[in-house]
Amino acid sequence: MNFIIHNLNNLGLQISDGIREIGKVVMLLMETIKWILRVSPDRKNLVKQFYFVGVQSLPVVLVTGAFTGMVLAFSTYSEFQRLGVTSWVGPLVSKGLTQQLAPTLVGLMLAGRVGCAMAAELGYMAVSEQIDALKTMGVNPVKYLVVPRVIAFTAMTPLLTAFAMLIGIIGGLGLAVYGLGAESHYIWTKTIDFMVGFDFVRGMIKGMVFGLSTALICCHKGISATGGAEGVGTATTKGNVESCISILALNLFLTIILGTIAG
Amino acid sequence: MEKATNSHPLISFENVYKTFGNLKVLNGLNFTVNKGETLVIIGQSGTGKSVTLRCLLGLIIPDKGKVLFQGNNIPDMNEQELINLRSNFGMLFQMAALFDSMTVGENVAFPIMAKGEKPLDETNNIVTETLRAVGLTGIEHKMPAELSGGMKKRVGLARAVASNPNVILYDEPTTGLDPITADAINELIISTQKQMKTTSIVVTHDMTSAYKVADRMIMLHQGVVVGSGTPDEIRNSDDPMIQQFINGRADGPIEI
Repeated sequence: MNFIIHNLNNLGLQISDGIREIGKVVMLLMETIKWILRVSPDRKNLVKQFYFVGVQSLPVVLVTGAFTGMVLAFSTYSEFQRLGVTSWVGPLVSKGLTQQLAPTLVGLMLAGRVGCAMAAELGYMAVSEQIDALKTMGVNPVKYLVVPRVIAFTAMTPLLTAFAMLIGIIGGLGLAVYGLGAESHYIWTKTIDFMVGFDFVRGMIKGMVFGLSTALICCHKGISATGGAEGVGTATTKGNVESCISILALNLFLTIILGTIAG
Repeated sequence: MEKATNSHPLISFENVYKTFGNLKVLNGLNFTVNKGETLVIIGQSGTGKSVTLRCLLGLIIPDKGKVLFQGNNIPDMNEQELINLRSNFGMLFQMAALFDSMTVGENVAFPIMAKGEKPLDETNNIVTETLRAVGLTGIEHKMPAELSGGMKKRVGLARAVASNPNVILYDEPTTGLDPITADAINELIISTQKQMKTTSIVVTHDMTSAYKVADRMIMLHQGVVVGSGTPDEIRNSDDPMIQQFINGRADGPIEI
């Protein structure tokens, strides 16, 4: 009996901790919005973050998109060939990439590449008193450190998602046509017939939300890190894990909401 | 040597309590700092010296009590009032806390730029002049990672004084430095105080440094002041706790 009570108690504590953390991230979002509306962010800092999040992530995003598109085409081609509808590979790859795979995988890749770096950098600044030094000089750390990162992450993730969609479709359909022998005319026609502009918009909206949630979670973990090197490690790990979980959970809600809007 | 306590001290801690979890750090702390004096706070690790400095900057809010600066209670201040308050302070952090992503010059210029009151040319001149005053010329373009511990402390000191603050806080300024560099930092603290007529609070374990820079000293133990006086008064105190600490003995009334 005691064992059950002990475990229930632990579960309750974990749930309340989780809710508290979500609350803190929402508070950080509100403070970020407040600073965005109040003052324009430091341009030099903003450009640096755009470069780090956007330009430096492009290669990994393109590789992710291309391989995902090709794997999707390869693994479905033989099934469609048996049914005699190989041209359906086009819509399947395109719809799959734009609606689900590109935004989710790009979100997860960026949570690993960029989110971890943000949590670690801000975490190190927190434990080495650099954030206290900022406050001492009358500079708000959310305004100076969080706002440029959140803006850059939220703006660049949908663009990177669009690149991943395009390269994934080109890669997948290219493999089907030039590697597996599908009829290019039918595959392109079918793809164009089934794809609508909202498919791309849907993926980019998801990318934007994933970018925002990852930036907020990782910045929150970073600036609240304590306890030296171990604290930085914990902040980085938690930032990455919680960002990935938030991406997967938000994907479900966004799929339902955007699916309802699209009809 | 101890300066007369006037009726309006610049800084005043009145019955301040602060607890972290189950750990009582400040336990009814009372002391004052007069304008223009250098107060040194000594005491064992964990007795609340650094927490005291953070309470003064509004970085930590006490559970109970008043922290007054020019008669205004810091824990009652809103965000804007805290920003205005902090413009009165410069702080040298224990590990210097230089911004890694900025050059030395950008670090020293940062508090001036943050205030946004001075044009770029004037800021650059102040940076060069302040670095020269701490014995570092021509290193504006170096990154903090390229500096030694002593150089980092000196750059940290240059950054702390660059915006011409009224009060400078030093958190263990000589910890981890060799004796010669430590003495150079002590000389800088004294010369800064003389030139800028600032009020200073120095937190340290280093008794050589404490005796050298202090106008007045207080000793903290378990979050309260257990002794105060001029360096000579502290040195000659017959309080066994003070004697144990200043002589660095493991045996005595203070338990490790």
